[in-house]
Amino acid sequence: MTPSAGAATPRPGPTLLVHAYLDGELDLANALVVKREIEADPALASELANTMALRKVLRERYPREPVPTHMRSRIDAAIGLRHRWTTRPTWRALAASVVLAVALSSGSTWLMLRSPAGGRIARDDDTAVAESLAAMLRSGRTVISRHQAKINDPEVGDKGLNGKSVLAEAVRIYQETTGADPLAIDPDSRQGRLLRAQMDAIVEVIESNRDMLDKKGVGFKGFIPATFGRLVNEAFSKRASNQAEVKVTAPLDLVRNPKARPDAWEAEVISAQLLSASWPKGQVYSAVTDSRGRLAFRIAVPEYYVPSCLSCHGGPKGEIDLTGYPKEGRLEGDLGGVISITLYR
Amino acid sequence: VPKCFIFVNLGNKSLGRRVSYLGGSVSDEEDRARFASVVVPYLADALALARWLTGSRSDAEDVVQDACLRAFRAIGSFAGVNARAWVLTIVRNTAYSWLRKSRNKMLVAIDDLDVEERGQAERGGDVAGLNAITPESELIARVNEARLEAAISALPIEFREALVLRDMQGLEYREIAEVTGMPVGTVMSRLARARHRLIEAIRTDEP
Repeated sequence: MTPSAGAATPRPGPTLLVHAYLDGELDLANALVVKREIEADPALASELANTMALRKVLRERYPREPVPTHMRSRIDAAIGLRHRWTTRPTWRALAASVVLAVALSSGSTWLMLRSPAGGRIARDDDTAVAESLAAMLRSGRTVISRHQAKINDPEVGDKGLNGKSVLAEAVRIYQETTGADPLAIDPDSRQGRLLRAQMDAIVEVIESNRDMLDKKGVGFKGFIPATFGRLVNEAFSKRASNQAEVKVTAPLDLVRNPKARPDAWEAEVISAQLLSASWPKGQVYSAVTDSRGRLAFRIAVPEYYVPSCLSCHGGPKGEIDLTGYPKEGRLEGDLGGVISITLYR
Repeated sequence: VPKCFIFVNLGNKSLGRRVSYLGGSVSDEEDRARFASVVVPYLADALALARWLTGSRSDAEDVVQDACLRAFRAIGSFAGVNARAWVLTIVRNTAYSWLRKSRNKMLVAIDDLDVEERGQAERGGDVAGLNAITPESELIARVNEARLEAAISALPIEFREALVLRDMQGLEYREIAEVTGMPVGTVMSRLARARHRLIEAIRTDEP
């Protein structure tokens, strides 16, 4: 998406575009153009550095403050809201709901929560559907990761990557990592439908970026696994409109693209559950809750840094990485991201 | 199902009388459940936005309470797309009417681009006062807290809201456009200018 209001609007000046670039508001092609302009123009580079510093100061000095208790009471009194304020589960509630979940679904190892509104539990196949979407997303990103050197080789034009080949490789990785064949899933089932929509999204993203990928003379193209993943998720969410959404988010201090910012539910799950010292590594968190005003099954799949992540997210903290962002100084095994999947009812 | 309306005075003169629903009908219960899932998660954002728009925490609480009542009454009309943008739109509109009532002078409309800045935006090249090659990011990172606060508060309200919504609350441009009723291009230029003014204020603050 470009930030200009429409085709009639002239291209905004490069200074404005630096802001849009920094805010993650440009599509890949425009972002690359602006990135090159910044590299060539010290004034724009200075603009970028100053704005980044300002954004960091603002974010650090003005974090979200909790709502004061007296404010909650005032609103309670004003509208007669008497039930619980947040859907944040306590461990006691979790323990109780596990009993409920075990009673209701045989063999599931996933946590399920009874929401405060009562009686809403996960469907049998929710977790399986979400798991397969997460696995396919990871497989696709692995393909892009494996070909990263080739993608960024300025000497090579045609990279030999197309929608079909990338998908075929992703399917192979999916089969190797899960032991299941995504193509064998009944295409008329919800899982089959959504998984196929996601596979179509992978093809779509590669095909629509092929010209850029095959460009000779350009080195780093910004087509990193994270960006690829985001594009696939956006294409998928469009295809699966109203049924499902896939998003990759992260603890707030690690979020680089504003589109990846955790929403209220995700932020709560990340800080209260996934980041807590007692959370078992790799354990997902799921709940049936309201999302955008609709009832939905939501699941957060944690992802941890592996050595290849640390060239951008490791140390020394603050050093600028290949993509222009300051490194976060994280260690191998730290929670680096969360695949957040929503299945609407 | 008849609803029970009771007028209560919550003791704040500037807000006057408020409507409170004290009935227990089924639809009220549904509305409250919806309010809890749509509005309540964004109260912290609502308070922060109101605080920056009104300039005071206690005024912000009045505005947010008022906005919550408006949101509650309108909860049935929420389309279910972007709850945060919906809530913040109501908060912003409530803050604006509150400001209009209590301090007319603060809402003098700005000409979005003054002559000098318009020239710059069109040329696109220069950045007000930021032509130095050396980034001043060190200076910015160490800015005095009171100075930063004062500089933000001194921004025209249209710039301030863009800055708060983007740089403190992380909304996307199109969400800010939705909240403020401005085109995305205007959001982008206001945000850039708000940031320029802050950086300029920090720069000129150095002895």
